[in-house]
Formats: sequence, structure tokens, C-alpha cells
Amino acid sequence: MNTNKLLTWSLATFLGSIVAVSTHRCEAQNQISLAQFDSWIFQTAGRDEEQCRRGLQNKIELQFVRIEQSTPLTESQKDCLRLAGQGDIKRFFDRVNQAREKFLRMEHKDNNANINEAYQLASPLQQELSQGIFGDGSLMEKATRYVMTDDQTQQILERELEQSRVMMELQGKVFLSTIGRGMALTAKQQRELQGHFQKKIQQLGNIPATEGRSSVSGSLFIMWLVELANDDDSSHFDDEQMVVIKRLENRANDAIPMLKLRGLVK
Amino acid sequence: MVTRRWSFLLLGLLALTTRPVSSQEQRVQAVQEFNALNQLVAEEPKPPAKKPIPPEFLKPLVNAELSFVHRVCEPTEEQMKAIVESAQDSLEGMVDILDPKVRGRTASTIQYRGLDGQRLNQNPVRRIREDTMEYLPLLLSDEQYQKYKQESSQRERFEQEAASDYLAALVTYKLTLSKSQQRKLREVFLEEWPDLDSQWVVAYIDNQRFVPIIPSNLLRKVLTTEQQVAWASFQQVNISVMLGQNAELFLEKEWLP
Repeated sequence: MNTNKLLTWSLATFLGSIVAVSTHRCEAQNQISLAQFDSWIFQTAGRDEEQCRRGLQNKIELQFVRIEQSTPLTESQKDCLRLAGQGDIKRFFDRVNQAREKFLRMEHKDNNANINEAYQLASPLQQELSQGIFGDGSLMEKATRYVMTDDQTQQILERELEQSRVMMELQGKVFLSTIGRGMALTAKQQRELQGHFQKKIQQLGNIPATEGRSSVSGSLFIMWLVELANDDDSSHFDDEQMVVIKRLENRANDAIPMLKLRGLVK
Repeated sequence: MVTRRWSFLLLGLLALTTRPVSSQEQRVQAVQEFNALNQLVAEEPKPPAKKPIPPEFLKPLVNAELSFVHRVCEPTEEQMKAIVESAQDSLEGMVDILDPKVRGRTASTIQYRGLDGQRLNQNPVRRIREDTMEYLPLLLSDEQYQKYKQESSQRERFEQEAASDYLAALVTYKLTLSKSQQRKLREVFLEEWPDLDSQWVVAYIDNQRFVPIIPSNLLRKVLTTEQQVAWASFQQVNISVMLGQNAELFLEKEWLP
């Protein structure tokens, strides 16, 4: 009897110690350090602050290369833009430091909740870095508009428009190559349609902004296919393909108000 | 009196003897006993193994390819019937496409998934085209087959160019590459990235927040070290190609039974 009791007691102690050790381990695993928090923010930018700062400095210089593809910059213009770029970097790291402070203030009662909260803090900053901190609304962008002469601004705008046209044409080609699979388009049909899209894109007064360009362009492509199919002298599609085009007509009609709002159709 | 006694005795004996059993009845009984014993000893007979069925979402892709064959080769009704039969056989042989084991899978390997999330081990469109290329010469005249080969290769080229052009332009835009770098990158994609698929590129056109994971050995050939570092700073994600979507973009004709 005593032996049995002793055995039961030993087993209970052993199991208890396992549970205690495993709980302790879970807690340890769930706690994250400031370095780990930083690595979430900087995961695509070199994993730490120093490398991230270096990468951002390089991106300022890359902005000069981008602008100089349209128009040459003077040294004083570059200095001004560099200063604006430094301002954007400072603003970004101010937000990083705020997030760090919030992270450090977190109570360590429920570790899982803390991990989620910490991720919510880090994630927008990480996305901001990925998308680039010198884009729309940045000091760099504002300074670019400010320091450029009218001619330079015009040249930059023209180049941006041209680049957007090219990107839209390439999107059109990808669109045709994928719908070609379902509609069994021949290469000849695809090339004809590509030519048609190119003409239409050249006629566009403005090009959909990068943000949301894919859905707007997709609607335009479908609308152009429908227009082409409805041409009296159209022989671009056979009867079977026409059924698909007719099916897409509703989609095209639904998109017209949105396209009008953006000034892409009359 | 004696005779009556004997007759009663005979009747009594007759009543006691069992009814005569025919040989057929004996056989039935033996079989029943055998079955009863077998039920106790033997396991339930296994139903015949079910033939694996290829995923349903592949059917529209095969139908579309058959429409393409019909359009470019103009086969006779009999030829088309035989082509459809071969396509059916080929589809049934595509059950192995669901095997998720892919040798040499890397971060940049393009992944294909069915509507229920099934992982495919290869590009189904390419597989269907390769299969078609295999059985068509047996069913078409040489002239018809050459037409298919030519049209198919032009279509392939259009698709590869579309994907390569877009990706080269995307990298150029993001990293401000020179014209010659863009041209070289396009060439590298066209020549050294045979798995590049325009359907995969669509995923990145629709999700501009992310950039694709481009094999680093290809980027190294064109980009400077600084440019490679800059490319790594963008959010790189490998988005799977989802099959079975956009049914409205497919022809209605269903060749397969």
C-alpha cells in the first residue's frame, strides 16, 4: 500500500513538473523583445534600424536618378530634395519611436494579446516602408514640386504619363494573354486586340492613378472589347467568343459610371 | 386383428422417419451453411478500388484547349470525336497533378491551387498543352498538326512576352533601371525563366502592394548590388495562381462528356 502511494505521489510530482516546465516555456516563447519588434518593422529593410536608414538614404539618391531620367537637376535642387528626404526619414522614425514606446509600455499579463497588439503597431510601419516613404504626400514630393521650374515639372509629368501608358499597355497584354486561355483566342486575335488597346490608351487624356489602376484598367479593357465586338463591321470574334463578350457587356455597363467619374470615358 | 396391429406399427414407423430430402435441397443447405460459416470467419469483401477522379476545375481548361484545336486545325467531325476521346483520357491521367510533392521547390516556384485550396505540382495549362501536342499527331493530318504547332507556339510566345515585359517594366519602375537594363532583364526572363506564367503576373497587377519573388540568379545577371538590395526592400510575396475562377471568361462549349 505504501509503495503504491509512493508511486502515485512520484508520478503526480513528475507530471506536475512537466506541466510547470511547459507553461513556463510557453510564456517565455510568447514574450517578444524590442529587437524582435524592430525586426517586424524593418523585415524588408535590412532587419534593423541602421540598415533601414542606409537603405532610405539610397532611395533618396534613387529619386534623383528617377527625376534625372526626365530632366537634369542642379546641385542646389538636389540639396533641397535631400533635405526634404531627410525630413521624411525623421518623420518616419518619429513614428517608429512612438510605436516602440507603446510597445514597451504594454503590460505582460496576456502574452498572446500582447503579440497581436505589438503586431498591430509594427505592421503599418512595415507596410509604409515597403510602399516607400517618399511617395504621395511626402515632403520629398512637395519639395520636388516646389524646387522645379515649370519646364522641369512639365517634363517630369510627361514622363510619368508616358510611363503610366506603358504600364497600362503591358497590363493590357497580360489581360489578353489570360482571357485568351478561356476564350481560345489565337495569337493573331491577341495581337489585333493588343493593337486596338494601344490605340485606345494613346487616346486617353489621363491614365488611371497607380492606386487602383488594375481594376480601372480591367474595366476599360472589357469595355473596349465590348465596343469592338459591337462594331458593325467587326470580324474580330467568332460566334462562340461573341457569347463570352455579350456576357461581359453587363460588367462593362456597370463600370461606366465609375469610369465617367474618373474622366476616362465621356 | 394381427394385420391391423401391423398396419398401425407401419404407420407409426413412417411417421417417425424424416421426410426424404432431394439432392438440390441438400446442395442449397450446404451452401447456406458454408456462407454462414464464412460470415463468421471471413472478412467483408472489399469494394473494388475507386478510380481517382481528376479535379473538376481542370475540365474548363481542357474544353478551352479543345476549342482552340477546333479553331486552328478545323478537324472533321470524326477527327474531333477522336480528339475529344484522347483529351478525356489525358484528363483522367492528370490525377497525378494533385501530388503536392515538387522536387526542387524554391521560394520563387510558382504555385497553383484549385478552388478548394488543393495544391497542384505543376502548371495545369502547360500540362494540357503538352498532352495535346502528344496525341494530336496521331489524329490529324500533318498539315493540321503543323498548324496547331505553329499557332500554339505563337500563343505561348505572346503569353511569355506579356509576363516578361510586365515584370521587367515593374522592376524598372521600382528601381529606376536604365533602358538597356530593362531590355536585358526582359531577355533573361524570356530565355531563362520558362515557368513564368502570365496568370501568375495577374496576381501582382491586382495586388500592387506586393512584388513577386523573382529568382535571384536572374536578377543578379542584370541588377547592381545596390539595386538588388533595393529590390529586397519591397514586400516580396509568392501569390498562388487560383484556378477555377472567372468562369464567365470561358467559352460555353463543353467538348468533354
